[in-house]
Amino acid sequence: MAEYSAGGEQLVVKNLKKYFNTPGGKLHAVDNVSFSIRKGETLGVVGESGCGKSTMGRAILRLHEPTSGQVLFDGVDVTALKAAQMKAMRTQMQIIFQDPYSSLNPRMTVREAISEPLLIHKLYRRGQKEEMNRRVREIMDLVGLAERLINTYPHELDGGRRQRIGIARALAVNPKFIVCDEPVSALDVSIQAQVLNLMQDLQAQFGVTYLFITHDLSVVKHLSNEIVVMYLGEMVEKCRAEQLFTNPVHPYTQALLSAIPVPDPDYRSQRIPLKGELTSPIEPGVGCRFAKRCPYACEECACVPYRFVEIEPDHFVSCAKFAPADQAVQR
Amino acid sequence: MRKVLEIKNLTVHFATSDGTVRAVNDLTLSMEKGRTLGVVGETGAGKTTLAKAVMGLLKDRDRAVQGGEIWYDGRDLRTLSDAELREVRGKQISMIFQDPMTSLNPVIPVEKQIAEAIEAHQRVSGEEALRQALEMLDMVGIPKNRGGEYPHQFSGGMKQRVVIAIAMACNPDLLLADEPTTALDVTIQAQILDMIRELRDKNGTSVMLITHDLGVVAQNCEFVAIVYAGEVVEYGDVHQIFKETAHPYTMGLLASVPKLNEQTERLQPIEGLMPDPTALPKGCFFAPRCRYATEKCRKEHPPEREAAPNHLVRCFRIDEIKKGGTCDG
Repeated sequence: MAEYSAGGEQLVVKNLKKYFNTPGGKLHAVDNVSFSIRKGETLGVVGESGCGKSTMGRAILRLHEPTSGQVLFDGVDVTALKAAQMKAMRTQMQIIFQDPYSSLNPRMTVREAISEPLLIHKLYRRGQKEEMNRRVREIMDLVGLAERLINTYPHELDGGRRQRIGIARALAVNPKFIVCDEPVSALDVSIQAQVLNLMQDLQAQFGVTYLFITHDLSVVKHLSNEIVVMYLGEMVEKCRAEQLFTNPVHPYTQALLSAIPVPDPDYRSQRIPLKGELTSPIEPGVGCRFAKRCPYACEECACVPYRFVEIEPDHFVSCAKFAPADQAVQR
Repeated sequence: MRKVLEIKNLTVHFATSDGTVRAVNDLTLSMEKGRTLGVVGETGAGKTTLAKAVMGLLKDRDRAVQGGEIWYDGRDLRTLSDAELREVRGKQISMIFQDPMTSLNPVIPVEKQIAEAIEAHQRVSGEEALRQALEMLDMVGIPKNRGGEYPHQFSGGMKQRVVIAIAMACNPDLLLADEPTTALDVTIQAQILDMIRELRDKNGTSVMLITHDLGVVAQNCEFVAIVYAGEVVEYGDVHQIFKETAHPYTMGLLASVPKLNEQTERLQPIEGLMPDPTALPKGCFFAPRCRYATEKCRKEHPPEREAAPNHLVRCFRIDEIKKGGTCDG
């Protein structure tokens, strides 16, 4: 796997699948997702609720055990690691959760919350109070938490500060890669901007690689080098960030972009209305999963199997109508 | 244009064990007939308390201390008895709450929940109410044959449609929508907002759209009130607010959101936090976070001033800021 680390790829995901058993059959939460992220870059993952973006983030870290597929981190297949090896790997791969209100233990002070990962990964022993406190203060300073807050509990802090604790916990073990699962969705815009700036600074300073999961396309555009759009467990489009906004190809991406309210009263987007709502991800069968809502769908869309085709360099689309296989750039 | 609602010097304070929470402070605001007013503010700005006060939903048990006037249809709603208020509520003024998951009764079929609202305000038979309820379902885009289903059988977007059907069932004059799309995906949000606008245009309803999303406001409202720490800091038509922004807080809000139609390298957050509502600053409430604040701003509370006709701004320094001045204090 030397080719990947040589190419500067921090993470390579190959045909990742996560199915859940339900009474109605297998729920295809993540289906055949493949991508890679270069070191120090950010891959944005966008999609609506239920599209499998969070499940994918968790499957990469094996917080959900993947059904099949590979996750290569620095060339090492994470999915094949034994429990003890995986635990060691977790110092490299961390996650920031969406909701700073429920992802923190309400009975732990800021100090305890940030020391917890240090103790779990045995970076410090319980006896090394002094050294560990120094490290906790260092991390707090890094994420912009005032030192006086070290003995406060989460309920005493606002959402922005709580999310900084979440970021501090992830950073405490010096990871190379962080899955950011909607880290700013629960925050007000003015606070959201503070946290986004912090995350950008940390990336510039430490070269951390981010997988940034969000439903907010403006946020993803702002932060990402590359963007994946997901729909019902599948990738529908993947390209460099600017391409997605200048040349969106998949009808779902187009509809998603056109639905975003732009904070400018003179700006009117040509809305592409979507009929209906998300269809069930349980035993979805072959054919395009978006066909039922797609304004351009024809009969054959329901039976063409999923194909992810490169239509221009670095730009992949899974639409049989807009990216027919014969037009694809062959490599 | 006729004013449909005039709020004058509304004050709502809550007595809590941590002191008096000053949620809404001397707030004056009016709404034009048949138009949409966007009320924008961050968590804790007092937006929801404002809507609840208009609906008369703040009760003694909330230990709310209220002052001011809320004029609607020639009457001050604050002087009405509970019985009189019940007549107004749901029939003339209705409200859509933020979370469609919790604002419906889980054990009653949705058609019955809509019919309930109709029966409460119109003298019709149960059968007629049910027929009208199904009409409403149809109007919000839900097939009539799903009327007998329960809320859990619907998706979030459809539940919010049911909530809107209930709110619109009696053809209200004024609709208060409190973050109606915050819990929904963008494509569903677009559908719901389009629907609210269509219903408004069809029935001549006036809408108060409470939201924290500046994009939603820019695309859906004719007038905008920016609320900070329980008072209106800027009010104007949508162009004045977005194109001739005059209050530093509004400018800060606009600079904090990443834009889809332009490239920003770095966001400009508003430093600091909203003041604690139990200990509001003596001067301008925004002064501690404002980069233009002077000694005067910290000592005196600024009154509302007209930056242009019908463009109200609560700031001492609008003229200097307009000229591009910064902090000289």
